[in-house]
Amino acid sequence: MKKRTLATCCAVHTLHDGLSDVTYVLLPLLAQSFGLSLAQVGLVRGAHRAAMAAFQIPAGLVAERFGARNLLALGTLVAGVAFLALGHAAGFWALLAALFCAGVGSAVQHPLGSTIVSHAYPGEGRRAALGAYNFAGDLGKFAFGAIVSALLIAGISWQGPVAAAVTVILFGMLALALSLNTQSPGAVPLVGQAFGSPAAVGEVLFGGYLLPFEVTSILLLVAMVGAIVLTRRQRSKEAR
Amino acid sequence: VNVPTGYVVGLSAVLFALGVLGVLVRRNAIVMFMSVELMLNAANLAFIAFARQRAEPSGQVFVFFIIGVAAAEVAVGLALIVAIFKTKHSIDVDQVSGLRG
Repeated sequence: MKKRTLATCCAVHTLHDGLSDVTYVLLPLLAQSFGLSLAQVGLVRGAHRAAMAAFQIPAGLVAERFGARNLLALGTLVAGVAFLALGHAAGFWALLAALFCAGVGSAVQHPLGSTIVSHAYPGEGRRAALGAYNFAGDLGKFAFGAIVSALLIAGISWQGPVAAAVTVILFGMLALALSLNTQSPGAVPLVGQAFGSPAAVGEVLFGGYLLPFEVTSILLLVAMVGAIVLTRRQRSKEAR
Repeated sequence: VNVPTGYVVGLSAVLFALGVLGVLVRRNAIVMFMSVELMLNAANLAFIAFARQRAEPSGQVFVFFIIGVAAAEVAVGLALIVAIFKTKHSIDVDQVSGLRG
């Protein structure tokens, strides 16, 4: 389970970092196809990175309420849809908006991925796990950029590789939703203050388990009567 | 302090194994009784650990029932042991062969 959590987080890290760095390869092509000036290219790039940086702290805060897994899946979905929209962007502003949304989606990945990994490894092995997690991100940066460059050299239009990357990321999201669906048994359980309080237990005991409670009470009563009867008879025999 | 669920379940397994060993090895009725209690409480510990893991209070309610049933068992069992001791003047369970055919 630990390993599966780590593998999933590594895969998500690879996807997000890879997709983010694919934009470097795409920038000259986008500039060419849309006739962007260098300043506009800078703005498009800046919107992506700024969104990625700015939404990391809110991502952590929102995850406290909605759970790291759900937000990570949502962020991956947002990034995937944003890249899909990038393939259909009509002009500079559409590009800017699509990459901004992609940045927002990818922003959740670093804080939440490292949180999930460090929760899955509470004791030994945490350093190695986080190392593997970071390495997966760098691998994505390198591999995705290289693959997209190769596809572009092969003469495929830039929408093709982006669509392929989106397909990969959507599969990644599906895998994420499936494999992180339960808290790993090794993780420190997160229970509220009220859990296990007399009021909470009493509510369940007398709300949902009233009949078993009564049966157990009668059993205990019978046992006590039985114990008294067993010891008494012996005494009366001795008396005879 | 948050203890990982795996450790608690491991402790529960060790306690249960000790209880099984006690019942199988020892012939003293009181010690066998204590071993049975140890097994019941090992099960309780596992119930509590998984209840905390799943944040599900039903597990804790089950522990109450187990404690109740164990109390009934102890009441009857100790009464039986007292009764046997009064007739045999021993609580070695191998001595209790009065029903052997």
